Amino acid sequence: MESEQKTTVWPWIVMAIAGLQTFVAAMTVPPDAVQQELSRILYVHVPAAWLAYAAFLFTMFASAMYLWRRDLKWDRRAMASAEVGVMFTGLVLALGMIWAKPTWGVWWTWDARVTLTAILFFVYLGYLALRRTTDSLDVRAKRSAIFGIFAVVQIPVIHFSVVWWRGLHQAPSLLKPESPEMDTAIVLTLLFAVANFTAIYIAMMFKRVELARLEDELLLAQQSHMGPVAGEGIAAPDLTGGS
Amino acid sequence: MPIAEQWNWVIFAYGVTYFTLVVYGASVAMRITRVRKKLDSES
Repeated sequence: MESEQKTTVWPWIVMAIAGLQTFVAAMTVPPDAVQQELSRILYVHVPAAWLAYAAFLFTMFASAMYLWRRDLKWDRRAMASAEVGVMFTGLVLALGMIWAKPTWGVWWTWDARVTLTAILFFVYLGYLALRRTTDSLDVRAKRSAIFGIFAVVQIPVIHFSVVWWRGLHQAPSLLKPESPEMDTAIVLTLLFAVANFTAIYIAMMFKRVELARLEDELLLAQQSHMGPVAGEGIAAPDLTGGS
Repeated sequence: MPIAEQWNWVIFAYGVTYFTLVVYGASVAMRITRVRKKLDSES
């Protein structure tokens, strides 16, 4: 069975251009008055955090669409977004640690937002593990859709954790009711980086959904070659003596 | 903290970011190639 759809190249080009644009903008913007050059970590840390949120919100949306439409393409989109989201959540944790060491003096602290983000990472690893517990595409899609809808409840808790509990992580600077307390050049560069990382996420989604479709095709092809299993493989004995 | 040391942390952070993105992208590309080959052999 040869896959009918050809692979697409444009997502790789989008990723390369968006990655390069972010790098150039982040390295040329003037440094922050307080954190100086360390503030440049902001332009990868915040976009990665935004995409951790956005990816899991899309997983919830696609999961709900699957339960409504029962179309496996929504299940593949939900899974692709969850996997890319896990990658971005791992990245935001790593970047947070790299930023924490020179500013807080420690690699890790049990701050509410940091700890809840680590829990989010492991919960979505659990989502990906759950998908490996069955070979039935429909059972897998239904189980993971329910998981994908309920797991997203963590995101508002993580976002508001810096307001609800006192910790080392700073309160929101951009996404808050009052106007941002940031210099215009820094805000614009940050928004530019967020837009570029969102383009990287969308491009990665296209490739990951393509892979998921191929994996499903392969699974169905392998299952069609299998012989009958268990009771289906045993014929009833002929007790008529051949007459 | 001296400016040169601050740049070391910045380079470290960007190195980790782009390394992660490239490795993940490469893993997806390799898995696509492998699954396509398996699908061809199934035909």
